[in-house]
Amino acid sequence: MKDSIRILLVVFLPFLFALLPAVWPAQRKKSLAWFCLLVPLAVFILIMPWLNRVEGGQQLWIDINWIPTIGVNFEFLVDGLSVLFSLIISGIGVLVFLYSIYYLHDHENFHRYYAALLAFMGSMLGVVYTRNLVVLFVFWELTSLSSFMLIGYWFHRKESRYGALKALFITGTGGLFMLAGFVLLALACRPSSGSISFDLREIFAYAAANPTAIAESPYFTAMLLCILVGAFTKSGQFPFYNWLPDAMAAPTPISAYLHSSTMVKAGIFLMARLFPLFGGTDLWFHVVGGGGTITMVLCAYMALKHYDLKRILAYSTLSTLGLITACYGYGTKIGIHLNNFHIMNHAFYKACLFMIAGIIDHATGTRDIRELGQLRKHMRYTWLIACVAALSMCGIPLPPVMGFLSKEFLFEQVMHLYHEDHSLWFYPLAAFLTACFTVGYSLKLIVPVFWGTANKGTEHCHGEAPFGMLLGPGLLAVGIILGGCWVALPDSFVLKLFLASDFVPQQQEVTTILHTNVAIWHNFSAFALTASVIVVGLLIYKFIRRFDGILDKGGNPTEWPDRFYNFSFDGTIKGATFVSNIAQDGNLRHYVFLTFFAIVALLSGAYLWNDGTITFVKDTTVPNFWAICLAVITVASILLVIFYPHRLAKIFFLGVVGYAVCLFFFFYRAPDLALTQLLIESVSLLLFLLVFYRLPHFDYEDEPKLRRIVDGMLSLAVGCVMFFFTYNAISQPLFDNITPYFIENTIPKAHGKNVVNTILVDFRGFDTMGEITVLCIAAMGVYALLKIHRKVKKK
Amino acid sequence: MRSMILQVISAALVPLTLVFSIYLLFRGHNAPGGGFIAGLVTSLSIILIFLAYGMEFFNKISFLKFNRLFALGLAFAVLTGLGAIIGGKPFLTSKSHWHLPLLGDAEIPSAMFFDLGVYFVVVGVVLDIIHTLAEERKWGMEDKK
Repeated sequence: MKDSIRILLVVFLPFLFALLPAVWPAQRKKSLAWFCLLVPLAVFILIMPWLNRVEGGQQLWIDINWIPTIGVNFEFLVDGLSVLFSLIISGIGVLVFLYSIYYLHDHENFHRYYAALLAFMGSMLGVVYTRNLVVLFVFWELTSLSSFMLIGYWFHRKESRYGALKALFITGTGGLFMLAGFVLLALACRPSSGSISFDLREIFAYAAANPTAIAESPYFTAMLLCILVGAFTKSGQFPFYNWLPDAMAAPTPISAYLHSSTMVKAGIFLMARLFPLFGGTDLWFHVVGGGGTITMVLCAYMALKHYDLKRILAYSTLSTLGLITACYGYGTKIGIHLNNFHIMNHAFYKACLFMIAGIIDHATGTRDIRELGQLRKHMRYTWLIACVAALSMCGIPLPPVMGFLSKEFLFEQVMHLYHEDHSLWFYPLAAFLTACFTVGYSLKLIVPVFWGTANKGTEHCHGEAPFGMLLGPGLLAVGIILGGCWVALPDSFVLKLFLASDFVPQQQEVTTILHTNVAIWHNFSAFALTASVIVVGLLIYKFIRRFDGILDKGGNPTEWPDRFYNFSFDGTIKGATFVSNIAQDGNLRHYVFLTFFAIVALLSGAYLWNDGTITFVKDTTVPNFWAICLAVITVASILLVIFYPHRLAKIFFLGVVGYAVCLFFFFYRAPDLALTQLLIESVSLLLFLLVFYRLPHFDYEDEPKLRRIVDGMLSLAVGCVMFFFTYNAISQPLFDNITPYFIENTIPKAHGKNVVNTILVDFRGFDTMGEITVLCIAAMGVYALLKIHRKVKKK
Repeated sequence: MRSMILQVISAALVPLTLVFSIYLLFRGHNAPGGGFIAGLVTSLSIILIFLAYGMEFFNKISFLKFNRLFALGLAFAVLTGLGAIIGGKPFLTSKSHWHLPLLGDAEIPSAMFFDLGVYFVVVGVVLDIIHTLAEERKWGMEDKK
């Protein structure tokens, strides 16, 4: 299969199938769920052949044009990094889809769920495969949007709505900063001759040719910080971590998929992709390394303070993401090359643990560890799987699990850093603390739930979960153990994939370092470190309650991001309400007055500010006799509108004015415009009459005299301003007439003789598409506003 | 109270206007007409039915939900643009010469389908708005001072 077709299928197949739930019959829900399972499976199979292709460090470049004139095209890059990420996305996707089938209750409407989930998978695949920065941004925002729909799936619950909005605002704002950073990056890397390019391949080529171009660019700080804001908000790094715990209001399969394995890794992916550009700089080291380290320790600490299974897992995810981010920040050789190992590892054990949490929730009805206990008697397999995953999370070597290797590599890196520069003592300390806290909260996840005393949650326990539900976490657990046993296997597989990406300076050196270090019991000091971590972790777990109150006394600074978010959110809404209440008091006449007043003030103000003059063009042609008649009729109708007593008749006279304008178009030979005006006038008349009956009875003679004078003056002012404005615009043409181009090209290029129509649907078809979209939105708005009004009236 | 004269006239006029609107739609590319105009004529003729025969009759004969109609129109317009991408050109490039397998060469500008989409949007939007507004009150001709 051609590569371009393959990549198009991989990225867009999920989007195509996301439309499927819209047409699937509402009753056959289970079959929809099983059918949707085929999509991630298909994507996984499609990606497999690429594994061999990217191994040697080769890459595939695939280009499809979209908007070439501004440099935004579907440019794809298939290399080790993207293949690794896409394998995680599709592989864990298969398991999550399978798990969802058993998790969602029968009475729920799956269609929205699967549509959003498939759209999410497609957008995530788009993020990892594209190399055009603007297209990356588009897919990035699509992941935020589909995540919003998924977190808010149970929209009748307040916490779901809150969590979804919070996630959307924080990640969306970050995305906008990221776009700004991308534009600055493209500006800094613009070749002197050519136009701006958002293609990473060209940016890298430019950076390779001029190595200091980026670091010395005037935009450097702004660019780096903006892009990092984007990555940090998505991956929940300090200080943007507060959205992830509230996103746990989502259904558990969503938490297992989005908020542990895939979406939150998007920020990390971005940092990995852009590392070659920014890697060696000091700013990167401090911000990324420092921010990651702080997140790592802080969130591991916060995980110890909560009792909800999913919340503990959320903070744990944040802590691990902080670890990975910090490793990218440190920039040590080992760190960069082996970070992907930890990414894969984390995906395995975290998704597994989330699914276990969902199983426990399903079986006992609660996720609070204080209400659970002795579950290992009722749920044997769940217990075994949970233990394996938790051991991998702690990094305990028995049984051999992949997590142990990750922890080893982390310690290697921080010690290396310390050896290089002794002032960086904070980092090894942070790593040690994190590891201890991790052991502590892993124990918190397992011991009170599966051992301990039986509580009311255990009494409700239905027994072991169905096989289908256990299959997902079970496979992941098996993978964890296999990975640990065959030490060379996951390591070389992952390593080959990562080395295959463009950005490895010395491949040979890395492989030798690896081969000497990869073994489980490789030296005594590492063993001692691990043992001490385990001991300290156990102690922390036992005695954490004694230290609980200490941090809270200081006003609990860990809550400041949350407080800031709530404050700004509520504040914005309050401010908007205040302004609206001033300007919109419910009286239609006041709205009209304000609108026209603003038009007059702004137009005349702008004109006078710019020292505008009014020129009168002497045009001696005598207008058409019929045009004069029409003008008289128009003026007469307007006067009748103002002074005639009957309201209905006033509306008809307005219609006469409209039809007179139509006749003007007719006399000046614009048949399309005349036709359109005629028809629009008829429709507006009808609309006006329909709305007319809803307006209350009103007699203008009852208004105070001053009010009527002011209204009259405003009307005159509007008329004069518009007259002078239009007259001036016609008498001093500022631009060349564009008509000749269209008249010449309408037959050769658009194959149509009606220039007005070809402009509308061919030359300026994109504008027309925007207009009809606005029409649709207006119709939906009218419908929604009137139906809501009806509901409110019924109450 | 329904006007008998209006009912008889509209029974004769509506089929004619509907046919005329389709004619306007198809001639738009080469003579005055086009999607917007044809859409307005169609919606006006259906509104004439509504004016003459009343709300209940109108609901009985309208087998189409108007919001789906304008969504369909928007989809047509976007799909025409996407069709250009499948052909390897930028979005919304139009193509006029087609080599059809059985029928030979044809000259149909692809902007025709775009115009069709515009037509459906206009019909759907106008009828949706009028229908929603009219449902609020029973239609009757009262004189308000």
